[in-house]
Amino acid sequence: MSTKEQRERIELLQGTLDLLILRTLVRGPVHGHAIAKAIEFNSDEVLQVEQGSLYPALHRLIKRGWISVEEGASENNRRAKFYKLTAKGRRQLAVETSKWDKLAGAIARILRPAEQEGES
Amino acid sequence: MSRRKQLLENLDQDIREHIEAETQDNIARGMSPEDAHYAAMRKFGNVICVKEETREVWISVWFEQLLQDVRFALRTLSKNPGFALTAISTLALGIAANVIVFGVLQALVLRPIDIPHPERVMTLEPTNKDRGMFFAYPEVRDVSDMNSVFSAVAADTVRSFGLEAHGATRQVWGYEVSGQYFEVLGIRPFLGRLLERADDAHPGASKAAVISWPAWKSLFNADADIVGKTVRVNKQTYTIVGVTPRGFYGTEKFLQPDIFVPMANATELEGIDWLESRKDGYVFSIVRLKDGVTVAQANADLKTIVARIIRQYPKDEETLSVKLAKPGLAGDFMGAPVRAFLIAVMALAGIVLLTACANLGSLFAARTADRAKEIAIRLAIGSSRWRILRQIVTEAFVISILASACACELAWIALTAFANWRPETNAPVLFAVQPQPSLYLASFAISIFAGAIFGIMPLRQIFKADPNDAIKGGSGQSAAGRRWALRDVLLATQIALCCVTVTAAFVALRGLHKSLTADMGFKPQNAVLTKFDLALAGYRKDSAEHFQRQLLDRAAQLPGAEAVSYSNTTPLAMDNSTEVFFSRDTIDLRRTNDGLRCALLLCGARLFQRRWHAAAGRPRCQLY
Repeated sequence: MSTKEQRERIELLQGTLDLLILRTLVRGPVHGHAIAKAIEFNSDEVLQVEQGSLYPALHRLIKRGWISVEEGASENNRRAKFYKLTAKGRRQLAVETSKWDKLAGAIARILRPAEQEGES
Repeated sequence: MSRRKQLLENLDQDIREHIEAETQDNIARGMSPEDAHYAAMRKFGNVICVKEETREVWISVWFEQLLQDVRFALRTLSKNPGFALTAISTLALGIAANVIVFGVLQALVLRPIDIPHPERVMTLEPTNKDRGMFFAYPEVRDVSDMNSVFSAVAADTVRSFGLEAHGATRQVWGYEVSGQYFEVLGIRPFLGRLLERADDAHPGASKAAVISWPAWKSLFNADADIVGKTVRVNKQTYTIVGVTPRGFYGTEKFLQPDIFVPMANATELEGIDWLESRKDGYVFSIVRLKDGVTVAQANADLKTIVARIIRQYPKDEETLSVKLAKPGLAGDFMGAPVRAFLIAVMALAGIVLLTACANLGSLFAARTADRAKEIAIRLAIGSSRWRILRQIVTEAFVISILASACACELAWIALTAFANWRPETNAPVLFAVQPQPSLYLASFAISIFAGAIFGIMPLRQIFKADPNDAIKGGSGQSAAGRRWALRDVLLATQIALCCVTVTAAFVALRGLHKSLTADMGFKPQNAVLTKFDLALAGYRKDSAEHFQRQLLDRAAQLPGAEAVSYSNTTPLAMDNSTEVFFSRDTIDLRRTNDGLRCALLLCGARLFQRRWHAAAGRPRCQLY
């Protein structure tokens, strides 16, 4: 796997990572590592998040006021930061989700006939 | 702010804990601790990049990096003082040349006279160049009486006066102005009042004088009670009624006047009566357009007025023609050549700057080539090319801004010296080119322009740089041999520009040499001049003649004096007294019928031993 391919894939994920983080936080406050784990697990390991890219995204969301941070203890009783969805973030999640649905639907509609033509 | 700081300070810890957690997970999956750690690191990605990206969310990293780049540039420059010195001084000279010319251009052409609504103030100018740049006073008076487009029309003329104050007499320069002069300018006095229409109503109407701020400061010690004090001007007693505001230098930019007196008193002051003569022009005219009147409308109105004047005085006014021009440099008479000259000099200064840029560009390209390895290493450890380019361009800007600071200093010194320079002429020539703060802005703009030009020279080198090649020691030499490198183009440009400048310099030098050694038709060697104006001391025709004869006799007795003589002016000197000569059989003595028009040189017979012939092709006349 060359570095170039990897970079292209991160580029692709850039816009959607925020959405995935918001979605992961719906069920309650989660700490950083657990968010990455949850995204991988819930996508049946298809989406391999470069875990580092999580942090700029988290900070971006904090800055926009969509999530907040609180200190707490992790499972093994160590100090950890928990990221929590704010009311504003919840509304944003709804907006982003419907946007994504529209986008995915539109792209699917374009791609499907093209596939049929390509096969014939 | 504090929240952001806290978030960022904890970022290191967050990342460490994240990797720790991932490592634990991996160990739980059965990896060895070491493998688990590396796997976690791999999965996390580039920690430094992540940190930077995260910081970028909060801080303008752009600014942070700029500071870094500037610091780095200063460090590299101080490590290489030879290069820094060469680059900065080369560029400083280039920028200074431009800033100085710009300063002069701004002072003489771009900046209007310091008065309210300067765009409404214009000067009248004869379109017929044979008439020179002056009007006869009755012509200006006619325009003033007949027009419907100007709110005020004034005549002014520059004269030297003998000013007697505090028991000492000195020669000062000033204006004789008609009544509406200060109305045209619309300035408010610094002290007292300015001259008004009543002061100029008729000869002797008032013995009021206004002095300029610099004269008030230097000749009258900034006397706060100056208004009402009397001085003697050409032996006539005048009362100082006011002081013009600071920064007002009269209406001609080359002159710094000390005093303003009513034009109606001209005859009394000068001993010559020219006020009513339509034959001789002595005055400038300055006008203020009425609100809403365009220059085209005013010119049209002037045309009808001129037609009426010509109809009324066909003999004297046949050649009259008037148009509006920008004030400050005797209209377009001097304005046009001054502007053309300054634009040419500006172009030359531009070439000097471009040469400096080309020079620095090749220096920069060479330096970048030397630093190929450094750049390759930075690329290899993950720096982007964009980032490297930015750093190099920053270095260019650091150099150009340092150079611009030096250039400002140079330009400031040069312009101040120029403004304080009083060339040895009869008139107090003043170059009102005091440097303005706007020069800093101009200099900064020029330096950014220059920095951008030579800063992007190494652009291709950076984008072509291959970390592999460079680190192996190849440093892109294969590319240099293959095609014309940018550096060759730069070198050629530089040589071409230098050729142009050197040629221009030599042409100018040769021209100067030629005009200095030109055969003037007479021998100025060993001739000594002295100049005085008896009118300033109140001498009138008879007494002056007596004085002159006495002086001449005494001067002739001086040891070593071979010949002594008077003349009203010297050949080739700036003097505008012209006289019209007619051929012997001309009956209708009007201007267009003149046989010869020349500067009249009144002089003693001992100066010229031969007869003076007029130019060939013209009716020949002889002066006896």
